[in-house]
Amino acid sequence: MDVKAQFKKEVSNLKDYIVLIRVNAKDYQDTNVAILKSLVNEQKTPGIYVTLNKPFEVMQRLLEKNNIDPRLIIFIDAFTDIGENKKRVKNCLYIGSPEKLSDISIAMDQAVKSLPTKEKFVFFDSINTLQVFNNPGTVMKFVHFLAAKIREWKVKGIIILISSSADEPLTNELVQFCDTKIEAGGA
Amino acid sequence: MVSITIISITTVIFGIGALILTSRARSRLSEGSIRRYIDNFSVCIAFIVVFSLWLTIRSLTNFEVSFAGFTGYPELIFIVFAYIGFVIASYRVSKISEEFGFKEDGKEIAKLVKSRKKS
Repeated sequence: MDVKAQFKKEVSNLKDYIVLIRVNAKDYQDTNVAILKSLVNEQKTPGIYVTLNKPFEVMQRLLEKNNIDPRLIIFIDAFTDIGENKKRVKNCLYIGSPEKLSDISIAMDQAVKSLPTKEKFVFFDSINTLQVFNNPGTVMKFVHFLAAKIREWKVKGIIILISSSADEPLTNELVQFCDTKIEAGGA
Repeated sequence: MVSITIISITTVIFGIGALILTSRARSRLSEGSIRRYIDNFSVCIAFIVVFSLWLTIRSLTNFEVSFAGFTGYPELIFIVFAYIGFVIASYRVSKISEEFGFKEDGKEIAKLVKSRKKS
């Protein structure tokens, strides 16, 4: 079963949810595109995309290439290094670094609350990148925060985890908060 | 006289309490806009605390200090610095609202979703 079909099946009975998608590096991009297609094109749901692995411009091009309207998404780009000052463009806030967890949290909160639609999603791409820039304790705390906030906001939460053997503790922690876990691309 | 002293001491205690709370908040935040705003805000509180402390000591000891041009109330210079700090902190807040304010983007997205659902 492809990831899109699997995703649809898993969340079909859920209104608001947190889905952990564990994907291998090879299928990572296709998986993200497939999930976004399902949310934006089929369910016509707007949302927030937190990108820690690709710059906003690249994400925008990728979505346009796959006929996904990027105008329906607010991007929080923590990948692009913009120095001390934040850079704000239409539909995107550049945070500057995945280390700035407080800024990422506030940006997510504000972005979710700015969407006046009933249905919305939060796509977090990807949680393991945080581990490169922050200590494990801080990442765990952030994971708790993220899960609690997604529940509080009553949104559809998608958390991407790029599979690697070193991420077992993080996976175990995440699974506790998620409604379902999808293994994509033979992860 | 006694009541002024009590008020002064209470003010200093509140000020120090505010500084401790702000410092705790700062230590929990990671590097970024909010932490920088808290830094600014702490400096403003610090100036006000120094001002209150000065007044308290003066009311308790009748100790007079006079600088050229500031005879009478030289401690007012701390209030001037605190206001300058507040202006900087307010500017930072306005920058934060520019960065983190997504209200307009949200409105446009809602319009787009509506038009897509109609078509």
